[in-house]
Amino acid sequence: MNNGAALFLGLLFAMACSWFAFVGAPQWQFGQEIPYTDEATGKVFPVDRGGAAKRGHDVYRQNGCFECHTQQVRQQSYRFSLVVDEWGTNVQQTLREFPEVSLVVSNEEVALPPVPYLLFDDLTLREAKDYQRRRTESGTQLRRVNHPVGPDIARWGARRTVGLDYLLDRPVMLGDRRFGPDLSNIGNRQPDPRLLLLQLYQPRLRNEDSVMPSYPFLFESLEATEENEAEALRHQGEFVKDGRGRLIAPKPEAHDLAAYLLSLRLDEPVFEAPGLGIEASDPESEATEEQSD
Amino acid sequence: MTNHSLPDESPEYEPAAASSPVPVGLQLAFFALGFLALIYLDSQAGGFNGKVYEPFDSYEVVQEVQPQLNVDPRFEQGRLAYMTYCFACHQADGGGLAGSYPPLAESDWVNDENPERMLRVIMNGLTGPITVNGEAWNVSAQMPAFGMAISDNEELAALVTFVRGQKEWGNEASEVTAEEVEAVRNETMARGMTPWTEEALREAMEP
Ligand code: HEC
Ligand code: HEC
Repeated sequence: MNNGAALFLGLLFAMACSWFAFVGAPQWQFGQEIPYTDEATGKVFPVDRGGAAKRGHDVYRQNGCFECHTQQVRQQSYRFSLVVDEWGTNVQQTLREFPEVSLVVSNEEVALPPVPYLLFDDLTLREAKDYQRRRTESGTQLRRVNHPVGPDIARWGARRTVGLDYLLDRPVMLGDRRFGPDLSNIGNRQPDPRLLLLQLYQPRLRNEDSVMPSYPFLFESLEATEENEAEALRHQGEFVKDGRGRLIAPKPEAHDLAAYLLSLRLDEPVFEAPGLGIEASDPESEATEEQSD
Repeated sequence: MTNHSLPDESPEYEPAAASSPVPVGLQLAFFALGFLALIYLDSQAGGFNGKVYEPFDSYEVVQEVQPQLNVDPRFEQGRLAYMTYCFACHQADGGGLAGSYPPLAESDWVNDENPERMLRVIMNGLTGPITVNGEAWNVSAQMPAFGMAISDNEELAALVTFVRGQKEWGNEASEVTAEEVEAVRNETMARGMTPWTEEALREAMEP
């Protein structure tokens, strides 16, 4: 090797470039993020997990849930609706400005519909702003409401995930494959810990074709006595039993994991992902919920 | 490589690649491509701001689409002023205190179409027996003058607008402008800290 120095410097340069692109630049972009406090309400975001949920984070990690489940929701675009908070005082003028509104007749009296009134749905930002600008003479107040949209959001999230969501996670378990549904909003979509525990004990109880592994070692079997029944898992009103007819009760780890899953929520809008915080409904999981209650 | 002689002079010539320069056209093409790539990166990166995520293009757009809360800044300014000056006596719910301070909620003094009487009360204070909603109030306390304390017409207008427009208290009177406040202020300036009585108010406001 007669150009050792050049080779070394070249390699160093190549490594330095990728280091700057993949480590340096993100650090520069996100390194200063700190939890923020909403001045009006005094709320802090994100909230540090405590107790059971913190231990559950480790159980999640130990069992490799991130191999099949992601915790990242993307947003494709956004839509707006316009809500009327207050009608103008001059009904004639208001009606001229809003031909879309139909009057409400009650007790022989004709009136504008009660507020808040959803005037337009599914607008682009430009359309929404145009309406807001145009319709002001009657004094009617239009408020713009955001709807994040995208396939991920329709299925799993109320909003997209942003860097702030992971700020207090050690380690961050984004996951890179979606064999199962995204879990970043599971605490909001599936707020019943009993169903989560059932899912962990035997996923096929809730979904016959589930390919999720079962985690029976997070549970213990108990004598079928009355005092044990309080803790025991139930499915469709009946106790879940193992081969020997004994009851199944979650171990502390399972409770911790469930607490962790419940702490995964995206219903709080953040600056980076302004949203409604509306519950996104997942038709599939709703169907299974009904079954198993 | 010690042999520097030309090929036709030496039979033991060892072939070596000559270094020929990259054509200028190719260099320019690379340069142009790199430039375009950077422009693209810049346009897609939201100003490299950590707060800008897909699908937003820039920080300004993120700011613009923040949820619009249903609050009117003027109303909030008025609420703040109320909590500073009036809350101690007329209470947070505007209900006053039975036997000491008459209510502002649903009061006919407040909900009067013309805000003048209420403005005068605030400017110079009020004392003596009064009637609120047909009910006689004869309290030992007197309403202090606020004309000096609240010297900003806009602030006072916001305060009065808040009290008159506070639907939670059942008030639904019109807004008040800084001009109206100024007019009353000029008229009542001479009175200073001498509180009004109901009688004096009626006389002063008679055309
Ligand atoms: C081999 C891949 C795999 C692994 C590992 C795995 N899961 Fe799943 N999980 C799935 C699949 C597939 C589904 C969807 C089918 C179903 O509902 O059972 C699912 C569904 C779920 C659901 C229900 C989601 C919903 O939207 O209702 C929860 C909760 C869940 N998994 C939690 C976990 C937890 C916690 C772990 C770690 C202990 C884990 N999973 C490990 C594949 C996996
Ligand atoms: C120190 C206590 C005190 C404070 C502070 C005070 N008031 Fe009063 N206010 C009174 C009293 C006492 C009366 C009744 C006077 C009377 O009976 O002659 C009164 C009467 C009134 C009335 C007429 C009666 C009614 O119920 O409508 C109005 C209007 C009013 N106050 C508005 C205000 C506003 C606005 C503020 C804040 C800028 C304020 N007050 C601050 C003590 C107070």
